[in-house]
Amino acid sequence: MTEREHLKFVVVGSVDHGKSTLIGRFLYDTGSLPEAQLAVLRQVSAGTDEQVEFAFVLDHLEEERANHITIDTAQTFFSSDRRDYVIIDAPGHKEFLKNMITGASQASAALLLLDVHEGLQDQTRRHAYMLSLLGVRQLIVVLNKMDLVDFSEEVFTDKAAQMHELLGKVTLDHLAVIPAAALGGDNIVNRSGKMPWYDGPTVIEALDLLKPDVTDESLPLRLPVQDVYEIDGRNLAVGRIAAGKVSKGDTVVVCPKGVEGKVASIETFDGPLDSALAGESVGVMVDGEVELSRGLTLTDPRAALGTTEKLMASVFWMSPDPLKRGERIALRLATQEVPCVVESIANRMDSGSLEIIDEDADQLADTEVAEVTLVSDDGVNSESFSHVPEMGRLVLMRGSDIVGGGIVP
Amino acid sequence: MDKISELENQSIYLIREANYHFRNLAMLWSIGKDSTTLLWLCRKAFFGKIPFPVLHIDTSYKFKEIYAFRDEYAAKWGLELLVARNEEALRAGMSHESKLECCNALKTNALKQAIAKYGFDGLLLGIRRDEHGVRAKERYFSPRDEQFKWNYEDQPPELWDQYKSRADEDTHIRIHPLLHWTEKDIWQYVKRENMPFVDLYRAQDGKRYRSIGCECCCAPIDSTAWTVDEIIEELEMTSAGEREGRAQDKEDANTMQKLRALGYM
Repeated sequence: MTEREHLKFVVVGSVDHGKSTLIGRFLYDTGSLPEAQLAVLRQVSAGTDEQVEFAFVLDHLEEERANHITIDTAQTFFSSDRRDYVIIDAPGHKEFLKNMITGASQASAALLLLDVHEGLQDQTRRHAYMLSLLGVRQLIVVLNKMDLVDFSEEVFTDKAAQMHELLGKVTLDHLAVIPAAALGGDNIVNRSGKMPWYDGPTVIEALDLLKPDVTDESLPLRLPVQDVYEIDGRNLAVGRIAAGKVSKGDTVVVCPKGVEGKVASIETFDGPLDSALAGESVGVMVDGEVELSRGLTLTDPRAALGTTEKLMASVFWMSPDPLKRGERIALRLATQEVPCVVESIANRMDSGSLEIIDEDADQLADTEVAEVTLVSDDGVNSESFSHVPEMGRLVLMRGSDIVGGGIVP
Repeated sequence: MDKISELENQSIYLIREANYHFRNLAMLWSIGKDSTTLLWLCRKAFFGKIPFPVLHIDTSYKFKEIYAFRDEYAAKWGLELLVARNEEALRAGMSHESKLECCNALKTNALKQAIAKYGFDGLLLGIRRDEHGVRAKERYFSPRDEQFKWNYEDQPPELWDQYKSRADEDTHIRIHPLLHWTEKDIWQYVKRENMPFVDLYRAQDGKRYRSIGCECCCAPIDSTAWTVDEIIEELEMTSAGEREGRAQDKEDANTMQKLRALGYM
C-alpha cells in the first residue's frame, strides 16, 4: 500500500464572508458527511428542507448556531482523489483572533475568503498579515458570493486586483485566485456553468496542486531537551527532534553551555536506533562532561545555536490587557522558558489597517503587532524563523496564560 | 515520515509535556480502543513504566468483557490502576433512564470525586476531534474550573507546541494527546502495533460495537468484520457516524455540548 499524502489547511477571512458555508459545501459535495449528521443538520436548519445550513456542519456550539457565527476553531477531515485533508475552520470576528491564530499556526496552507459583494475588510487584511507572520506560504484566495454580483467577470477582475495588491507585501510560494459561490457550490468541488469566462482551477483542484510539508533533512541538528528520565540507572534525555538528523556516535554541542558530547545511543521503547530524523520523539544518552536538563538544545557542532541576552521579535498580542514597556514576562521557545524584560516596543501596527500607530510605543494592545525587544539575564537560544522555523518562534506568558506570539526575523 | 508515525511522535511529545508540567497527573482509561491506544503510547513515552496512575471511571454498567480486559492488562503492564465509582448515586439507584442525568452522576461526578480525593491537576484523555462536532473544538491542553466547566467561548490560544500547561488554582487541565487522530488512524495503529483490544469490536452473530461504554447505552452495528483489516475496510465503506450507537450523543442536537459543559469527557 502506498502512503497517501496528507495536508492541513486553514480557512480564514472576515465575518460573514462564507467560511463555514464553504467548508460545509466541501464536505457535502465530496460525500464526506455521515447520513446521521445530515439528518441532524436538517433538523437544526429550522425546517428549511431544500436548503441545509452548511454553516452548521462545523458550527457545533448552540451559541454558534443561534447567532450564525463561528466562535472557535474546529478541525474536520475529507479526502480528494489525490490526498487526505484536514480542514481547520477559523472564526472571522476580531475578538476571536486568538482562536484564528490557534487554527492557522497548525496549517501548511490557507484558503482566504473574500465576499466580492462586500469587498476588502479589516479582518481580510488582518488574516492575510497573520498568515504571513505565522509562515503560511501557500494561499488560495476564494472570491466568494459571485452569485450576488451576477457572476460578473468585471467584478472578479477588480477584486482580484485588490487582493493582489494586498498580498504584494506578503511572501508566498503559491497563490491562486478563484471566483466561487459556496452557497450554490459553484467552483468549489464542481465546476460552475455560470462563469464560462473562467478557465482556472476549482477550489478542490487548486488544493490538490499545493505541496505537502516535507522534512528538510539538510538543516542542522536541533534537539531541544524536553525532560531527562532515569532508565536502568542511566540518564536519558528525551525530546522531539526539531530539525536535522542525529546518529549514534555523532558529536553534539549542548547549547547554551557550549560543551561537547558524544551520542552513545538513541533509544525508543521499541529498541535502539542508529539514527533519527526531525519530527521523531526519541531518547538519547550523551557521553561527556555535561548534565542535561530541559531547555538545553543538542546541536550540530558545525552550526551551533547562538545565545543572546537581547532578542528582537515580531510580536502579535492576544490579550485584552496590553503588553507594557518595562514589563517582566516569561518567554517560551521550544522547551526553553526564560524570564525577560520588555525593553522596547517599536513600529506598533494596527493589524487591520496595516498602518503604523507609533514608532516607539509604551504598550501593545490586543490584535496589534510590533517589533519587541526582550532582554534576559540568562540568554535565549534562537535563530531566524526563516532558517529553522522551530527555533525562531516563541510565545510570551503571563502566569500560566499564553498572551502573545512572536517570530524571530 | 508516514502519517501514523507522525501522529505517534506528536502524541508522545504531548504526553511527555503533560508529565513534565503537572505534579499530580493521571490518565483516564475507559478500556475502549482510543484510551487503550493512549495507554499504549504512554508506555512507549516512558519506556514501559508509566509514572502516574491510570484511572477507570466505573459506572458499574460496563460490559463484562471490559472489566476482564482491564484486569488482565493492568496486571500485565504493571499499571497503578485506580477505580472510581459514584457509590452514593449507585446506592440511590441511578440508572440510564435519563442519559444526561445518569452520565453526569456516574461518569462526571465520579470523576469529580476522584479528583477531590487524589488532587489531580492534570488528566490525560483519549478523545479525538473527529468523534463529535463539539470535540472538534477542543484544545490539546484544555482547562476546567472547579465546577468542571469547559469555557468553550474563551479557550486559551495554542500555537507551535506551546500550551497552557499549568493549572490555575481550583482548576485542572485536561490533556488530549489523540485529538488529531481519526477513527481509521486508531485502527491502522492497532494493526501496525499489533495492539490488544476488547473483543466487543469484533463481529459476532453479524453484529459488532464500533464504540463501547455502558452495556445499556451502546448499540451494535451490522458487521461481519473480525480482523483489524476487515474493520478498516468496513470503515472505508461506511457513511455512518462512529458514535451513532451511543445514546448520550443524540437525545437532542445539543446533548453532547450540555454534557461537556458540565464536565463530561
